[in-house]
Amino acid sequence: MNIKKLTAVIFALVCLSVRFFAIDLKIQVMDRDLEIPLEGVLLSVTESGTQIFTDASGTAVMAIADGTDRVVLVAQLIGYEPRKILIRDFSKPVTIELLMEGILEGEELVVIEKAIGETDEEVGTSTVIEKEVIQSASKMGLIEDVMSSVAMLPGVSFGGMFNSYLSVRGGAPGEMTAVQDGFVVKYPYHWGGGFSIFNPNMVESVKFSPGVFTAKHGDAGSGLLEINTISPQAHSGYENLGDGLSWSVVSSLSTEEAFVEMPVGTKAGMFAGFRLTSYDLSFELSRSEMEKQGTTFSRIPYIYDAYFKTVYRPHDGFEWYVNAFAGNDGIGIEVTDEVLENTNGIVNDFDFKFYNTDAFVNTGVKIMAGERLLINLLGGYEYWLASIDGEMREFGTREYSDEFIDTFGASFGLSDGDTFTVDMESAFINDILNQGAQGRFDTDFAINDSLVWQNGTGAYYDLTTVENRGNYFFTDYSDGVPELVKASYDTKADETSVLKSFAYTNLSWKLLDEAMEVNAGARADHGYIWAKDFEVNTYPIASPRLSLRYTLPGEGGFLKKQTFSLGSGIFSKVPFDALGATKEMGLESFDITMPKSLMTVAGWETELPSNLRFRIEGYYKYLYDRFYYAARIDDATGNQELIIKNDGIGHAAGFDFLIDRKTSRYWDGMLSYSFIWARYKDPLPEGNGIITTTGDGTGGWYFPDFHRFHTLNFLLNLKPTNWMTFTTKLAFATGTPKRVSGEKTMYPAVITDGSGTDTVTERYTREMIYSDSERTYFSLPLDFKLSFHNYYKQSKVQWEFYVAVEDVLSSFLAKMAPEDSIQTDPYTGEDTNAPSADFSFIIPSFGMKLSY
Amino acid sequence: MKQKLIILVVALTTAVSCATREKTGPVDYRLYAGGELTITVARDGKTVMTSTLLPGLEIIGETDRSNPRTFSVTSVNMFGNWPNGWTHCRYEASGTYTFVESGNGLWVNVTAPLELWEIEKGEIRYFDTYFRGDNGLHKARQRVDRMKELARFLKTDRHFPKVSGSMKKKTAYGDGFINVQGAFLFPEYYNRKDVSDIGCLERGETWDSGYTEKEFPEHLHDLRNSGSLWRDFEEAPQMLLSLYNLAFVANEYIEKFQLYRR
Repeated sequence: MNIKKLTAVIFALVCLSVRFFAIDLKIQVMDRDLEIPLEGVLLSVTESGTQIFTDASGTAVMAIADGTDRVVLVAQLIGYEPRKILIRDFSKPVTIELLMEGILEGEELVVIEKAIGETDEEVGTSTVIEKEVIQSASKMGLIEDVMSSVAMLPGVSFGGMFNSYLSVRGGAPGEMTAVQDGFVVKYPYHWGGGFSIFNPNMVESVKFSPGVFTAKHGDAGSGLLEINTISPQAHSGYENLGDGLSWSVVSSLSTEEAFVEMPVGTKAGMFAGFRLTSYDLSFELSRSEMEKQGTTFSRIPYIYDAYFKTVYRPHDGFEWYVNAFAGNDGIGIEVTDEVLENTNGIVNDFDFKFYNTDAFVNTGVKIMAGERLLINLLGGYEYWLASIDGEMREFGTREYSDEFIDTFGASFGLSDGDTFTVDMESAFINDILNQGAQGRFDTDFAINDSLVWQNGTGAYYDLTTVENRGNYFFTDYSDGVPELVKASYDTKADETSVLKSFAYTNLSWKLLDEAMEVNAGARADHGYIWAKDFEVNTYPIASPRLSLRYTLPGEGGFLKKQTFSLGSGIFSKVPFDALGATKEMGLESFDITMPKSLMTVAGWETELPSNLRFRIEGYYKYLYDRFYYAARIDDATGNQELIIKNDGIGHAAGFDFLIDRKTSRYWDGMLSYSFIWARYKDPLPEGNGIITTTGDGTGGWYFPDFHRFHTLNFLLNLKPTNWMTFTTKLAFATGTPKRVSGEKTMYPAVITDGSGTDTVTERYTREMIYSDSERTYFSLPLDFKLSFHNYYKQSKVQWEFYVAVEDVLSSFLAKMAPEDSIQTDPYTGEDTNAPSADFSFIIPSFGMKLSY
Repeated sequence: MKQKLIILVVALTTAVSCATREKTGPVDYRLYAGGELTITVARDGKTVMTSTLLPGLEIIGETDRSNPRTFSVTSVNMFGNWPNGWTHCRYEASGTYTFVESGNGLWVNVTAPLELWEIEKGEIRYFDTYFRGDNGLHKARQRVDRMKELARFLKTDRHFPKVSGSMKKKTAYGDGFINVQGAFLFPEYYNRKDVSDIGCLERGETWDSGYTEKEFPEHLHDLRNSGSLWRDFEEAPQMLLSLYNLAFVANEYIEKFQLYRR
């Protein structure tokens, strides 16, 4: 064998030995975005100089010499960014993902993911409140409440400091409907309506529709409030439990809150949180002062809320979610008048307790069936239990006044120095237990790129037991000599069922290169009430709706992007009180119908320089088939019989405007103004034993008690640095209708005690008369808030701290306001003048938040 | 009250533990150089290199026990925050450093220079919006790409110093990054007088396009005029400074100083 052959043999043996003593490393190269294998990728090992190419399946096999502990592999392909990886484990195949060579992109970072139809704002129909506005306007005060931001929007009438029942464009407060993630929340309030359950820390966006919203939404007479909660995100790249975790903890004077959001695997996400509010600390600080006033909390005000949401998205065309909320709140107040040392006084004791529990759970799916059809299914259950009980006692001994002796002494054999003693106890209990279920099915079908056809159907079922019982004293004039008579009432709506069903269709059409949008639809609603011993059916209500929006082409000069809107529609809502219907109310099938309103709105919106937006809308609303209540007093027993009428009517008209500047670096805010004119008529006049609680008693036109002509709201956020915000919030509202004081009357009233002994009491009464022209004083709450925020150094943990003071001017205004309201003591006749306006008190607050 | 304190304590404890630093096992030894560089080597060999010239940045790899010891870089962790958010990303990286014993200390030889390769993880928080997963990775990568190009432009095209000692303070390396490079990049914000139009209602949102065209290459025009470059500068200043200094610190500075164990 010659040298050459020997060399070749040795060389071959060496190669073979390397082959036999080598590990085959399988490598696959993929396009990261397109997820396709890449052919022709050059794979090279820097240290050894080995080079191979991938085949058509993107695969290559590289021999790694035995004893190699690591390899630096470089993958290169023209048009792709080269990739270098360090490989230590040669037992497993390696997948390399290459990215196209990038260009520098300056994509706008702030992208708020929207679900079409849920968060998009529509001129003439709705306003979306940005999260930043919610942060600045809602997060202050006794309770952080989203309603604080909603109350500032145009069309909303000022409701007072502790009132989340909002009147919208002349409609009654109960006519607005609140929806959370598509689920209608029957009673979204705490403390009897003082605050809502919508916590700013769990809300992603708020959409408020005071205008002509589409037929998709119903059972809303005046306004629709859509709360969209944070939607937990799943994401790829999830490696360990805790990846993608975010949490926040909030602490303020009376409230502790905590929230956590995290992905669960790569396809699901979860959000959970709670809020604990208790005024134990505040009460301790003010206990001695309160006790001097004879006031104490038999149950310190509290709110306990818990939230949960999970979303599962296995792919882009499918989403399944579960939402849950549980809340419990309560308050108990005891007021004890000082027992006077002398015997010349009647005192009052009062003990009131309120407890409320509301919980709901709902689930739904959103399915993209093909490219053009979106299907939504939702079902849920709500449990609501509210209990109010109160006990009052008037007791004491008082000497007859000289004037009373002079007037009535002879008739009753009274003389100077005689006294009378009263000891009257009354009480009431109002319990509501409601369980409701709802379901709906909606489809959005894109016929083409500019035409979407929406259809849907669904139902709400409520099973309610309402118990109202109590006793009270009233003055009976029927037998000549007035008598203080104890009467009682006891009504029970025992498992009353209310079924509301609906169906709708709506076409949404974009024309003229999307410059014009038309929404035309109709909705049918039906209500059916029944219990063990009665049933009440109603005729279905047809609610057509039409709205048009037109945006002028071109950018314009000073006024950019002008949009005109016009819309009209019928809206209806089954009154909340229907839950407590009873046979005794005398309702007959097809005798009653759902209250309705016919509303027409026209609007104009434009963009101004400096990122300002101006929007103005005018409207007229005709309210008809309104429910109202009266009472018939039984002369013999004094008992009250409730009368329900369904023929109330009303007119409301006005205009409102909004100027706002979206969240920006140095300053942003809003100014809104609403002018509302609203007149109602309850045709049933007083008389023949009938008393009414609204209107002027004559069955004529009147301004409803929540009506205010003017409401102005101003919010300004100044940010001199990017870690500090100074917020000013101001509201101005003219007064609500005020009854004027009539003549004061002194009269004797006989009360019979338990042993049958009659006592003549000295009594006073003053008539309060409805007035079209008299109004309470104006309201002017002014709030300030200073907040700071930053991140700990090299940390993802952010701290935020704020101090705020609400209603700064209350003490000053209370002194300045005329004392135009008279309260007459029923036993002494003494008049106390006080301002009619509802002033609260200065409320300082502070809060701290940590978030990750 | 008691519940309030418990919740606050738990929150603060969690807050402290949620730092962005790479977690290592028990530390074997630490090396310090020049007062500005620290190399921490754990018992399992995991190594983290940090520097005061690289705020928020960690160079991560493994050090073997051979002689001389070799530190092989596997990844780089970057983090930057501002009052309204943060940017966090992890890049695949390579580089090799050899520790050579000399007297009572060590010298570092750069065997293979540090290079950043592919982004492995990226997240951005902007106010209360989180960008995570593929979306976050995409946006974080774009941000880092812009910053890397900005750093290259400043040093190579505009001949700014190859290192800056601090964001704001004057150091041995010169005035702070904001006062030197920042003032050049964003005179509208830092009130330099050689811009044609400073009459912006809001600084930071309206940029002098004349200045942009005069001073910046074409491929950066849109990025500056739209405010993207400013947003990167405002929202992750430490990350920009670190990327600016990275090449110098990782490939030159490290060879200049003897390392001491402590």
